[in-house]
Amino acid sequence: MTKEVIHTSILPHVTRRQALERMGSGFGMVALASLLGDHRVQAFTDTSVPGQLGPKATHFPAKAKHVIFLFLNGGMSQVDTFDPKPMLDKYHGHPMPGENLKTSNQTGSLMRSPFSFKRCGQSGIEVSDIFPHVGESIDDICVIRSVYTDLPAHEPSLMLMNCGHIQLGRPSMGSWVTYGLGSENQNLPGFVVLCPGTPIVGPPLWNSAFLPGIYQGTHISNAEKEPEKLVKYIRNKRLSLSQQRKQVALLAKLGRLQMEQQHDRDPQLEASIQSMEVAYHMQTEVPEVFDIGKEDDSTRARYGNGDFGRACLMALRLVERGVRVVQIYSGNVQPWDNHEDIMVHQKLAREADQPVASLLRDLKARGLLGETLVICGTEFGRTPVVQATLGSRVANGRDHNPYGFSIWLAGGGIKGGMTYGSTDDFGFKAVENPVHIHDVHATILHLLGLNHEKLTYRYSGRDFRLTDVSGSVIKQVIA
Amino acid sequence: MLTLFIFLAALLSSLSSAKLALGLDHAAQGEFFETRIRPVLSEKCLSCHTDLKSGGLRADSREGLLEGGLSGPAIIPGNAEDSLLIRTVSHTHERLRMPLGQPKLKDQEVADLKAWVKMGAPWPARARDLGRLPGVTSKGRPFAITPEHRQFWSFRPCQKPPIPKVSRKDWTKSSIDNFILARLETSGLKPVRPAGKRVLIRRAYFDLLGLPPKPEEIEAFLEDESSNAFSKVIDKLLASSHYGERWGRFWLDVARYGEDDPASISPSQELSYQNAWRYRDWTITAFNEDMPYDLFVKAQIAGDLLGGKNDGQNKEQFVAGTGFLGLGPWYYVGDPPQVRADERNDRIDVVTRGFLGLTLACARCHDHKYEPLSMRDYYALAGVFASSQYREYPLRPVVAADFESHKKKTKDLEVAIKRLTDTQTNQLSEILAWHTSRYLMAAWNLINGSSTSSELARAQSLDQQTLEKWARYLTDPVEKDYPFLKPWKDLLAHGGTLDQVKKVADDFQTTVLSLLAERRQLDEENKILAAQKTPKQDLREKIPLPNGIVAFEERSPTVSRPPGRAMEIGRFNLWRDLFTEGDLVDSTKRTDGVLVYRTAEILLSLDGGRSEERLDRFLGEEFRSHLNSMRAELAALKQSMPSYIQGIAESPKARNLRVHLRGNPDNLGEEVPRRFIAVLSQGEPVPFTTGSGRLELAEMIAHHPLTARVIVNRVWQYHFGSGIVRTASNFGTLGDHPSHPELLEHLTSRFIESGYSLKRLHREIMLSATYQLSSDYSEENYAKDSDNRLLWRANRRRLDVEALRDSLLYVSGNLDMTVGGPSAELTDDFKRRTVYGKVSRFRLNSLLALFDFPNPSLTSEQRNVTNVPTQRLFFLNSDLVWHQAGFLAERLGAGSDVGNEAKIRKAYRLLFGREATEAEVRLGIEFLRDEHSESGENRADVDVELISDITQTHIQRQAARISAWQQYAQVLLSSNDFLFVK
Repeated sequence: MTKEVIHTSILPHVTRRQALERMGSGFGMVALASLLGDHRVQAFTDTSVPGQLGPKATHFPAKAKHVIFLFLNGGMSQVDTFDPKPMLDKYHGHPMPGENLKTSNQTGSLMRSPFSFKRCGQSGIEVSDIFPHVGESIDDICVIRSVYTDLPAHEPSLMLMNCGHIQLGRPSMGSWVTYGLGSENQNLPGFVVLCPGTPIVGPPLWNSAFLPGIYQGTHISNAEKEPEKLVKYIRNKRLSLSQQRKQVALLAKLGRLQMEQQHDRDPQLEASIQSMEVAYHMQTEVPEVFDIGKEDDSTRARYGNGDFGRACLMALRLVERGVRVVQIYSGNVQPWDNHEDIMVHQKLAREADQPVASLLRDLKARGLLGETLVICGTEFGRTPVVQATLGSRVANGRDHNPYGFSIWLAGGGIKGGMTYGSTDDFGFKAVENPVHIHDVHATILHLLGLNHEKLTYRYSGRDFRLTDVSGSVIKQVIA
Repeated sequence: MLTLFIFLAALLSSLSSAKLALGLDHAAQGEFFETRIRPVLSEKCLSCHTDLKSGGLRADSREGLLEGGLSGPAIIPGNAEDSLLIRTVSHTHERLRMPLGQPKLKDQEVADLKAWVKMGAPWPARARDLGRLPGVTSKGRPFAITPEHRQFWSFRPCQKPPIPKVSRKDWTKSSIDNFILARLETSGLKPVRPAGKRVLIRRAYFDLLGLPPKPEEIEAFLEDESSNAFSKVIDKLLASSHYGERWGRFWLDVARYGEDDPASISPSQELSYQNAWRYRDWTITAFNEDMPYDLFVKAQIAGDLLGGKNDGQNKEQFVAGTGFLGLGPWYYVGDPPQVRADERNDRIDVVTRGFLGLTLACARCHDHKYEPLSMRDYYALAGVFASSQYREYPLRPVVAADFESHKKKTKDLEVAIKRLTDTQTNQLSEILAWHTSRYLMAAWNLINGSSTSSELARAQSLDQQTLEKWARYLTDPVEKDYPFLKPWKDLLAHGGTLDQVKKVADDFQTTVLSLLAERRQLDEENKILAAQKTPKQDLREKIPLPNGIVAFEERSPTVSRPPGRAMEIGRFNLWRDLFTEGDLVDSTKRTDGVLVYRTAEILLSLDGGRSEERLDRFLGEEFRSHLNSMRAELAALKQSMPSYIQGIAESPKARNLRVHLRGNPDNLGEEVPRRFIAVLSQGEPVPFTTGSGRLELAEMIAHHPLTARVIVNRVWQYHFGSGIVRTASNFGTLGDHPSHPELLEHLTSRFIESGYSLKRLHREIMLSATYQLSSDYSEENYAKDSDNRLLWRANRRRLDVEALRDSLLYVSGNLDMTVGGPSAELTDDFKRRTVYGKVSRFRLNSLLALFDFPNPSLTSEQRNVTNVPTQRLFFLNSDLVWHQAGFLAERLGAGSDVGNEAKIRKAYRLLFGREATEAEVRLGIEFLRDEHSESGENRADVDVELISDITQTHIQRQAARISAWQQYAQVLLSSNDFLFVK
């Protein structure tokens, strides 16, 4: 186990906490206070914390305090992973009977899964053998087998899953959560995004849009293995910390002198000074948290040395230190987008399987699973029918499927060892208890103690929320 | 208990709106029906219960519901509990669960229906038959523009208001001040004192050029005591060619200027817009030349249609403006109807928000919920853009035909080279596969250290690099997802005789060859399968996109065919490791297969080409010289490619679009003629008649008073930090209302009178007493108007990323002031102004992203201003700041023997345009002394080139002094004084 790094402030007349709470964006505290004065977010003004990133009160008692959002980008196939469909074996090679659903590309007949399913855990939920370790943890997991989304294209679906809207310009879920709850560690960003490279769409998936910039996700390309190279400008190659300490002190003195001389109370100026103080401390704290070398060998071995594995271990360390939201993307661009050959899922699952199971196990061992909501999701599923695009070399893949797919949740107040909802006999369309992305978001916010209809932000004359104008909490999955 | 409470609370809140409706008056009941009931009926019930009469029921009128179907009446007005409709949708009916086969209605929807039946199921008379009224859109709600809509403050004609009277006549300098002061006086506020001359000139420089004034420019202004001294400064700045760089960049935010697409097919450079910069330069020039704003607007919507037929020069001048539309995001992959609709949505959004301050893009899926904008308005404009397409215009004197044939030649040659090299790559891997056993034997010796790879290769006539690749693969510690390598691994682990090794190697070769054979057969079979039901020709109309990519409006016709045959998993995985290409972009993911040698072309474009890995060295003389001559020809073609403008043009055929119900391109409603937005037209809008209608649209936008109001407000915003209307791209009912409506009308009418001159507008604003206020604090004013909405003082503003980076380079004497030209990556070596850095939508430069550069895929009304610690890390630790601090230290004479005090004073004049105070000088001297003495033991690394003209004996003292100064300069460059403009 690692210890919290504690720094003392050099500012005698302001406590560290006060100082940090004063830090913020140029929206200015006054403007922000007036924004928050809106009765719909009364809960926040009731707290004594005037700052933006300090912890804030919830709407009602929360089950979860942190979120780890594992995102298998590209579109994970449900019928090859968490939604077994024996009918596919039976009707392999036959056209899909009944309703012919529209897909983005040409599709052909039904195609069975090349993988087999196994009953796992006490609950006996069937999981594909490409996720054997996750299968072992199934009793902590709730699989939702009836999720559906609006469109069969990656960009809008990624936007919907991450920001609750198909078009650009809305804040990400991580930003909403950080806006709603603040963060518990002021030396680290409240919302961290780990991806070896960049998923398609890119930064809009974790942007704060019209929410203050302090809530935007900090993207770290974790393909880099050296902890100090993960965050840009985190280290000074030339000056010692004591030399920098003097610089920061001089800067603060000059800044305050200027404010005194001009009797100026512009909060931007103070925020800028405080921000530099935090930056100074980040130089030591950030490399430490990302340094998975600090974990013992057996722990590291369970996660492996792949990008996904290292990211899972970093997520564990980040959550331990109070970071509110960690999102992990499976890989650059969209690895799970297997139009041509679904067998690639096997390789991708291998990269994720053991690390994810280890993450659940270690969260549990460190007493964090109860307060950490782990979500494993994707932007849409894949068709049970084969993709038949001209020129395809293998013709063993599946097309995009927005009509029905699986995600799973664990920890953070989730009832484990259960499935919720179902798709039709072939796994094409959600039929029983269909769950829209807005419902998923409403449920996530609910577990965090936030009412999705009350977590609003007034922008351009309108109150915006993550769930737009719909969404209902799925009560059945809550423990 | 808690759960129960939450559940009850949720239930109550969902019922509340329905409860409310019970006590509503007639009009409100109608509203309730239109907004809550009709949409549910039309979306959830009518697909079966209209003409189809499933179960005998029609649900498109009250009568129909009362009459009911086979199971009896659907509603009993006043009695929700027993009504069949309610029982079926709330799933309490023993047999029927509606809507059939669809998700259950939302709790809210069920509650609304209940409430509606309870209140007697009122059905407003004006729209009895749902879904069949002319002009009814997706929600079944007729949409009509009323005269009141057209009288909204921002839509109505511009009228010059009288200039208000004020008591402090001596304070005003221009009529602007009367409007400002009148509001301040009625609110009991007093403007603070005017800014000093130093503050004023600094503000003016940053406002107009985005750079600080030089000390000598400040001195000249201080010494100029004439009454029009400031006016002269403004004139000089407006005449500077750097003015366009500043204000052109502001416009580029609105124009969501980017030099590639947000999602490219691949992240390679090939898909960036090579000539986007011509639009950027066109914008800069338009500002510098004070192109009348109405013309500026027209050129960006329809520049290709402006100018006389014989007026070639003139035409070219305007065509570049169409980059506004032509450089919008294009989508190369994806579902054609959907991505074309997305592209049009971008054009509609940027045109309506950018020029008109209207959020028409919100009416894509439904009539605007809050503004008088309908789906028909949206699809009328969408039709205009559907009738226009991407076009590359060669710059004169090249003619279009030559340009097109040049492009075709280039493309054909690229395809030919690829075909040739692909074939060779495949054949080579097959040849190498036949020698698998020999390579494995040699690899065994190599791994066991008996010989080096070059010796082994030479002795056994093997390819050295291939041998090394085999050895790497065969010793890879990662467990393979197939069993074929297990015998080999066992041998490696436990050792074996050469005979045993030979046996394993031979077996492995047999496996590899069988893989190849199987694969070849599979490919053949699958190809035949694919060809069977695939049309020979794609008859769809082709649409040109940037980078020579062809797209379509329609999907390809669908076929039905069984899955292709695939290899067994393990065999597939081995085949993958040996014969397939790795991840080009990110080779840490997966490298090329052991037997894969790729072409120089691909590698060159990505990493400069690793020659030893190229296919070329395996090729025979004939092949190689042929390939090289093709490459040379291609290079020459690319070299001589005429430069061109990326814009738009008319499509061959103009067409109207049909409304996309719920925004779904597969669900089409009525056809809408191409025309202007109804609420901005006088009476019913008249359909466009010429071509796509773009020119007519451009005319109407350019001369609508709303357009002038929007740009005047933008200019005001960039001068004051916030606009008279604070939502600069939303002038609708949901937008902010103007703080000084009369002032906006006053400025707008003067702007139109002046012939849409932006430079005149700058002058008028900057010469006002309001602009020239100081940023002083006032307790009294602050208590009443902490937001400074009434402008009792000047707003302090943080530098945006362009001004920040430019100023850093400028004060340290390193900014290259060349105007115009192609873009380059914003590296530390790039010394030009930031506006000339490449703007990528796909991967935004990290410095731009760090300092709140707006998303270049979307029109932006205002920069965010954040102050996050990661930005401060840039000042603490970036090479850029450190090096500029070094140059600055040198510029201040760090190494010289002049006293620190003089140098500090010089620094303050250079960086902040003011004199240092005594306290500031003292703090500086203390820092330099401490740091200087400490530097002996803990010295920072000093840029050696800075040390000039010194002797060896002094070098250490000198270095310490320079290091201390560099650290001090870094502090000054990181300070609020530098970062904020008062």
